[in-house]
Amino acid sequence: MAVVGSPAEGQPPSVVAAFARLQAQFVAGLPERWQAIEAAGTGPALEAALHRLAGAGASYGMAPLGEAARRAETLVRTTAAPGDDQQLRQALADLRRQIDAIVTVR
Amino acid sequence: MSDLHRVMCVEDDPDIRMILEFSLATVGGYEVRCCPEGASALSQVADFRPDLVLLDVMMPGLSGPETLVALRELPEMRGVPVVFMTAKALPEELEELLTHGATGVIVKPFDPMSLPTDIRLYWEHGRGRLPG
Repeated sequence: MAVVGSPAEGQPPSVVAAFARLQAQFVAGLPERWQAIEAAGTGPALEAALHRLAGAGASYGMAPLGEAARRAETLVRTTAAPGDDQQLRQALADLRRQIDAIVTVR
Repeated sequence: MSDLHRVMCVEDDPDIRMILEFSLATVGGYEVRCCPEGASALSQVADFRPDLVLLDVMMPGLSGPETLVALRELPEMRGVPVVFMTAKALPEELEELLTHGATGVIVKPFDPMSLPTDIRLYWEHGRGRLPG
């Protein structure tokens, strides 16, 4: 699956162009989103930051990003000591890779 | 209420507000007003007179369900369908949301190209079942 797709494909050119502008804006904000995730630490704040990214990713044509955020969000919710959890650290590293790949592609 | 024209969106995430506006206004052709929180939606309903409200569930301040309860107290909201938006997708969570009196639930992430059609279906379904 491509890291960045466009749900607007096949729409009139004005719609495709408008979506591309929005997508570029979303991508430009991804490093800031990652900083917010890092700053959130653990627990509910981290879960909320991941939850927002999970809800937005696929709507912007970035399904793998949204799925990576969702996996990490679920692990935060289901892990007793998230800071020490290997699976969560791995999920966050995967999310970071997704963000880097998108920012690089754009 | 003869057709679906005005859609109010209540969503705290700015990126999701932007994609909602694109989806509903640019793709769907609706008149859209986006509010960042429940309290601002409550204060703008009388002015905007929405035909349908899309309401995020998890928001700071008033939650989606709390906002829905308050919206239902307003005379301008009589007969107006309210549809929740949520990233929670477990069947029991969706069922629980419907017990608050919403017409339906849109699961995030949503497809911005099909959302205008989806909410029209909810509007057609909901307006005949709500008082007013």
